[in-house]
Amino acid sequence: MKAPDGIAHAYSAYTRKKTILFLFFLVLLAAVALLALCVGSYRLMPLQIIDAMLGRSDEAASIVVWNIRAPRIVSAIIAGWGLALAGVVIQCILNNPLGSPFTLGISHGAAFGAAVAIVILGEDVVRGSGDNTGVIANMAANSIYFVTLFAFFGAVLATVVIIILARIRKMAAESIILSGVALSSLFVSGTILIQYFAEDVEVASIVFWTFGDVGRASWSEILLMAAATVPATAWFFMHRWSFNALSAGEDAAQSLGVNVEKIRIWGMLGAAFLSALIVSFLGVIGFLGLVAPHMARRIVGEDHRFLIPHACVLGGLLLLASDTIGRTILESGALPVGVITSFMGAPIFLYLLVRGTRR
Amino acid sequence: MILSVEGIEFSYPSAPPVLNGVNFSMESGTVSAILGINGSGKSTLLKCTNRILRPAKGVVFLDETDLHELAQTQIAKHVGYVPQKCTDSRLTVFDTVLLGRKPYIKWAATKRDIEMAEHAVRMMKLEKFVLRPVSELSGGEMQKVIIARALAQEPDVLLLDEPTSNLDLKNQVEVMNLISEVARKKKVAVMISVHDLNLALRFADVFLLLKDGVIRECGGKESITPRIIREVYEVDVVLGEVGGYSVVIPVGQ
Repeated sequence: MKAPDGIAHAYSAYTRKKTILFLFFLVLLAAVALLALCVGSYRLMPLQIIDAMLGRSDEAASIVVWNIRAPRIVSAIIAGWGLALAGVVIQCILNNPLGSPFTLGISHGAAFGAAVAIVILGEDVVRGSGDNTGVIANMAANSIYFVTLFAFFGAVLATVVIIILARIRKMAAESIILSGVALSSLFVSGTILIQYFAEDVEVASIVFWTFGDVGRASWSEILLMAAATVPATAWFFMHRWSFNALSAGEDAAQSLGVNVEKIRIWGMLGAAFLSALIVSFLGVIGFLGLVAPHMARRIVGEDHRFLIPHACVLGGLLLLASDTIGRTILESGALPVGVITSFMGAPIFLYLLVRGTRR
Repeated sequence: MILSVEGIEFSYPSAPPVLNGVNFSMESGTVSAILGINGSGKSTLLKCTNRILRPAKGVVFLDETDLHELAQTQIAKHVGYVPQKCTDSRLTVFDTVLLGRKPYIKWAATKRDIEMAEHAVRMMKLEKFVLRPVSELSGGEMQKVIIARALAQEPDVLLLDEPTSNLDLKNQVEVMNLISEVARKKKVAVMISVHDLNLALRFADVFLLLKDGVIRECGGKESITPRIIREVYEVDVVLGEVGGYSVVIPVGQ
């Protein structure tokens, strides 16, 4: 586009388009959320949903909306939003398109932590999945939190290792990604070893935990995820200019007034803890943190002023759509959303590897 | 406005010192060329000047202000920097130039930020590329974008690390002309590290010859002699004049 006589005007129109696009995706997200409320083994019409929301419907509709579908919809949006946000930030900080909570081993660290909790504490943690409860919960609520806590510790352990490698050993971005792959492999091996010595019911619990399921979170857990995701979004969005500067190179960023060390360490910590929290509540949700930022990048480019919000809303949209497909595709029960995101993400991951690691 | 660098010393970890007490000063409206062989510390000196690297010793004053006492954002309001390597960014030209306003932007870019970026774009004659990704531009155009970004910072001092190293002759002359114009019109003190002695002689006012971490010679065109070039580059040269411009021609081995 040529704009020799009205650069500011042309630029303003260019940024306005991106803002409108963001609003479009927000509306689309709301539409998919409404659709997700309607579909399932117990079908509801939009008017019935409004009645249920206003407390004017029958008990069954009210339970389906408030206790089953609404929490998993909100949970999917928040988790998708948070994982995509973490992915954008990690990719920018590492200056590598393969960076994400999943590829850095954070998700597998959480799975390992959960496996340790399940076997060592001897608990069965799986609560079932959404509309079609597949596995019976037979544990006290407190022990679920033990597993979540251990999953969180596992994710934090992976995070700490990555940060130590990045900061103290001053490893290159490519080496950090490879370290994440090695770390993932180590955690997977550890999880398998635990399963080998576990009882059948414990193995089942571990397997179900690793599937990743947005229907697992209760309202209080959703609130906790939101309490981490909202301030993280605000902080990362506040530093969007710094992330743009960082993508111009470390020296350039510093010369533009960015405290590179600070933004790197806090950015990595924030992204890693956010994903650790989400994964510890919902299980492993593969590739979403990788795919959503790339989709957003294709749509709005590299500018973090637009990339961050677009990646977040696309992350929410993708996870919600995947979960809705997962729970409506099978008549026998819900397909865990982690399976769908992995099916979707793995080919994209391979494509990125084949294309090269240029961001 | 005078930039004074006093007693700068710097070493990379587990390596011998790169800078061993560098002293010089430069005035606004002038172009100073840092000359020296590869690894002589030219880039390091530029980075120490705006605290991208923290020198072990020494101070940098901008008039009465100790630059290294300021926060990085404040330094960025005084000193613009054009790195040796341009990152292959997918940001548009205007977004990249607007990034030069980063030290001034609190939340969103103001009208003044947009105006300053637009002014820098026009100065570097980049109007027709404003909404193109930087990565799609040629090396010369890309270099101009990065210079425009530094200009958008409204700097008193502009540091350029080998800005012509990847450019063809036409672009070298064009970029150097633009840099000289910026120095004179905007009263900016420009410090440029450069390998091409002839290009330096054509465009710079002051020459700093760096060897073994110290400045061996500092002065105007008269300071460039075959003796000092022999001392710094270990090459015999003859100095001549072609079309009114000084030229350096290497001779012998």
